[in-house]
Amino acid sequence: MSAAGNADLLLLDLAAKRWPGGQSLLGRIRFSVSPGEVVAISGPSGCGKSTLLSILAGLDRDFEGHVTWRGAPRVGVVFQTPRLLPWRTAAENVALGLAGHPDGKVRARRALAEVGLAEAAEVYPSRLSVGMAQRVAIARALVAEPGFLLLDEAFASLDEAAAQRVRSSILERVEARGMSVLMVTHDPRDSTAMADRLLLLGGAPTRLLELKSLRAQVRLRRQPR
Amino acid sequence: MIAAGLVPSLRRHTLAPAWRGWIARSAPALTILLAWQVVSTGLASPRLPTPAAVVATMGEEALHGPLLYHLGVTLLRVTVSFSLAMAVGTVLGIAMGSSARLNRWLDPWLQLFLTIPAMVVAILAYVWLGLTETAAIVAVTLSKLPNVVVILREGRRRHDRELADMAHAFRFPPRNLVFDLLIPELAPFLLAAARSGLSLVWKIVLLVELLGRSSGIGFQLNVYFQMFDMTRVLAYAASFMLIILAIDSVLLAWMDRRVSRWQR
Repeated sequence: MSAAGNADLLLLDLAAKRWPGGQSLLGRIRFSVSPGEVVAISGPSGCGKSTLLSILAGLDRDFEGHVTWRGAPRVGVVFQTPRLLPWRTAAENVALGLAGHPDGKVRARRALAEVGLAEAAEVYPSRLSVGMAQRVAIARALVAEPGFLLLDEAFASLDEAAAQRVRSSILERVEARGMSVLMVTHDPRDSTAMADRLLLLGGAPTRLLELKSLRAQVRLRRQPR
Repeated sequence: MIAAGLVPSLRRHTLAPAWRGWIARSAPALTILLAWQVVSTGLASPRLPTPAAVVATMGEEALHGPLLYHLGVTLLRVTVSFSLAMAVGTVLGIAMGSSARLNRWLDPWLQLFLTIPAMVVAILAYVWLGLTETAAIVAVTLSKLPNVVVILREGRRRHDRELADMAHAFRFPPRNLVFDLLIPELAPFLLAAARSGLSLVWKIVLLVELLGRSSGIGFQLNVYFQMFDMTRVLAYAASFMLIILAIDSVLLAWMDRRVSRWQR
């Protein structure tokens, strides 16, 4: 576990997260993420990984502990399901990630092209496959050039070619702009292809069991690019 | 098995899909008109004038009588009451659907207003506020309001929690929250409230005009009823029904198509 240093972009110091009945779901979990770092979180189903991400995204405030952000970075979120507005086209959904930016439509189309969906800009989500809709959701999270990206099983519904393309887009931002990423994943391909560190969660209540450094692999991976 | 040479002659007798659709939609109305014409011709009684006589009277009253004036007055009352009921009912419905505490406080009032007959509301409004335009508008608005509140409250309760979380995570500004999430999500409920509201409001407007106004279609219906002039009663009623039908089948149907285009 990295210490909470001045350079950390995010520090999570969670004491407990309880179910409405009072039973503990998450126990003591403490970790930090530095600028430009990719951290993967893995653990058994139902152990509270998505709840942890909800806490970090500010969607769940009913917990004991602290979330500390340094410098209030723009945070992009990709949920397990696309969560697109069904009455807005793909491009309009992506532009919502910019919240009224004057170049919204142009940048939205560029972000869609980046995830291989340039031709789907004017299509409503009901006409998209689950994988395509998830790529639109990823474009929506990336379009505003976030300083921090939260991914919740974001690649689970993508085919391997699309997943690789999206991983590359994200890693380009990590290396070129210092974007940090915290990703929940079950797929070892995601963590070995992208992560600097892997946090393994488990136990009851869920706590941090193990922290693996994957830096050597990451260096190897990033070298040829 | 059909011989190959027979197929083109069959095609010649097949109506274009657009015509078939028009005939299918018009068939019920044409059947009613035909039945009305047959029965009224058979009875030959002033109690049931023929459709042709009613249409002729409508034309005559529009060109030389006060039909257009009374139509305008009633339409204005419908527009004002409908708009007020929709605006206040939408705000109240959304608020009650969003807050369990507010719903607990206001639900008994809602139940009360849902059970009061429109005629009682009209009488009370005229007694308490006088035989004024304000009383008429208040009576119609209060009669329609509970219906809008119930529909919009239900719409708000069914909102998608996941989309709300997404909007929160992406820090939607208030403008985007309202125009990209709240209104589109409630659009089917707003349209349902508008459609049921329009059909209800104009009937209540006619009632309050009959009870306490000296203008409007309701007032005219009462006058011609007392004179037992059934041709004019039907001509005035039918003229306003046609306007409401046009609003529903053109304006509201267009809005319906527009808000549901993403589902096609």
